[in-house]
Amino acid sequence: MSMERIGPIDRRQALKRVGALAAAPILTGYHPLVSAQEGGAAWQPRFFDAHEAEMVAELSERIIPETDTPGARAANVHQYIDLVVSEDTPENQSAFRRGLARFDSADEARQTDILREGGAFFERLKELTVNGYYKSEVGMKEELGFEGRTFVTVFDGCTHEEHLSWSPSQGEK
Amino acid sequence: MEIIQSPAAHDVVVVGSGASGGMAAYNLTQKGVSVLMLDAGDKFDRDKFWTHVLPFEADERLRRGGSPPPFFLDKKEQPYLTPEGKPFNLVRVWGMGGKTNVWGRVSLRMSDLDFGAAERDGWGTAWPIRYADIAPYYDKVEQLIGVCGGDDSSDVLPGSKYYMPAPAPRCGEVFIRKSAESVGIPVVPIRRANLTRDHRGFPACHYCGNCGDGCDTASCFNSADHLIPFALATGNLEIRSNAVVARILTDDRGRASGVQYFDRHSGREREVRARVVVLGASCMDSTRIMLNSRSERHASGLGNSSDQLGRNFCEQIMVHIQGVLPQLFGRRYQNDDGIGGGHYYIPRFNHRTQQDYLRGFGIQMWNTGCDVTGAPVARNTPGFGAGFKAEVKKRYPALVSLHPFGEVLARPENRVTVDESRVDRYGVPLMRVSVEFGDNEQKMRRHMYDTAEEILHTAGAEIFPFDRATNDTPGSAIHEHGTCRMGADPKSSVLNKFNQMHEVDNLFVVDGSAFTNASEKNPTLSILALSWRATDYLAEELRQGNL
Repeated sequence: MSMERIGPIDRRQALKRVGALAAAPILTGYHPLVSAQEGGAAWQPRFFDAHEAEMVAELSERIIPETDTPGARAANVHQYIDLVVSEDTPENQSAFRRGLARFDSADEARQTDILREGGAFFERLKELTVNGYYKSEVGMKEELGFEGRTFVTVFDGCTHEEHLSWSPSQGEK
Repeated sequence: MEIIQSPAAHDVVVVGSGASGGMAAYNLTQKGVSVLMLDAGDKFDRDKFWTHVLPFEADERLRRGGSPPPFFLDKKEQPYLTPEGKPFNLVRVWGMGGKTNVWGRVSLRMSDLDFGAAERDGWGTAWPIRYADIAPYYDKVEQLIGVCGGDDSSDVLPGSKYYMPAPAPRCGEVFIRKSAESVGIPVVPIRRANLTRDHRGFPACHYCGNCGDGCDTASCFNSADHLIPFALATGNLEIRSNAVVARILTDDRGRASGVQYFDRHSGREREVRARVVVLGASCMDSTRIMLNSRSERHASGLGNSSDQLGRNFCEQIMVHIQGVLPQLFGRRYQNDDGIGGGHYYIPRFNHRTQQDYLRGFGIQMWNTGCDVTGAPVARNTPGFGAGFKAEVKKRYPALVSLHPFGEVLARPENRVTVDESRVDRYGVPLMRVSVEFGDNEQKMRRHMYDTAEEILHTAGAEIFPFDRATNDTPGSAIHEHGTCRMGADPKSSVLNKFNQMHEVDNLFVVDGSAFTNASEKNPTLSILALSWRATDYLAEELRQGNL
């Protein structure tokens, strides 16, 4: 099929391994990691302590800041990250915590410097931040303007003359 | 234990309600045959599908204790075993309609390149049928279920005059088509079982693109909506839900006499009697049932004197390569959902030149254009901060994806067995799946990556990093075949050309296990056609008193 989306987790992990999260239509499924808790002021982290949770919120906002649209903090991306990390392996949890510790007591400029160095922690933080942000209402609707998964009478597809008349020789550099 | 036996013997017991079992019940009941269908689950309620639920809405529903339809069988409820170091991703849907509730809907006709593959390259056993045998059934299936497609026809992919209009391509697909064709690789409109016109009382597709979570308007083929209700309307079908079949029962002559099953919830054992048994429980589960149906006459599993039952597993190897097209950077959001999945398809082309491996691959292209989430593009956009955020937005409409599917050769050592020492909650031995891709798959994988890369490069795409040494875990294509193959010779095959067991004339196996090789194509259309053909034969044999 192909029944193209089960063990939804296995397929997702397999796809991650090939570096292209290309969930085929049949493998979508839903992220199993959801909080039983309410969002907003009442939110309590599952894995992080309050200080760590605040750092995660700050760092996610460094990755996707508020611009003319809200950033990661407003989308509660830190809550999503807390959930995912809470269900990760103990080794990965420790690694995440160690990565986070480097930012302790760093000011904004210093945080940015450490993020610029890159590395495994940065890659993981960025992956979690973008996964959370771009599936949030803020990320999908306000930032990217998504209007799909709805009822459409006619599907027009590509109607752009500049695409329909394009030829590959123009595409070569 | 007390075993409850049904008082009446049915003409036919059909095990499974998906593409194969659903079609068997549909065809037999239309012909006046009385059918009892055993289904391992319940009907999924279409009113409760999450077809139009966005990811953040799903999170909110889950938070409030809601849940999407439980399509996928939990491995904790029904485990399967794999040897250390040989992972296998087995996807099972137990419930009315089976995997057709959530399938990819790609509906490709197999050709004589596929049916004649063994004769041409010497690998495996020959199909006992040719395209001409199945073509009339492809015609009938397409008219019944509704398949959209183009007017193309080739040696690889025979055409049809029964297609509904194909959907228009997305922008990215326009670039991919021109680029592939400029390097000599033809691209055709996808053939998919989505209704692009109203059909048989079902409304046309509404282009939400989320068929994979179940279609709330049944605008794509699903056995539970498009076959079973029509079978019920004949008055000849009785359905028993939550009936987990364990074994085919046999009489002292070794013929099938009925079926043993367990109630999924109470665990109570039951038996039903029938003149004929039709197995359509999916490749792996049907194979498990037959291997567990041992008796004095069938010591190594039902109809397994050939020792081929459970062997010769075959499927498709999948890889993925994605990128972004600079021509589409900075465009406004456009609703690219369409019929869910690619609107174009790249049929097998490799047979036109010499290769260092056998068989071939086709390429699908789902996830092209403005996707439901910008995350794939964001993960592959460097940096962070306001500039990064702006760059993601710019690249979001530009995503293109190629997904080659390559034929995995049937090898006797890639097989399903049952382990007497490990049983499920009903005491029935579990299946053990031992599958490993080989040298031919490795060579083909290289060509799959090279081809996809060449097409994307020609289109001018910025290609996301990928690892040529990887592919999806075996099983991920969800196209299992080969473990109960057809053939002319009972010494090397289990079924004859009508899906009838060589050694047990009143047992028919109509699911994907009957295929002798997988081909590179998505199999459901062929399963539907073969099940229709097999049950035409079955009904005629019943009428003549031969069964």
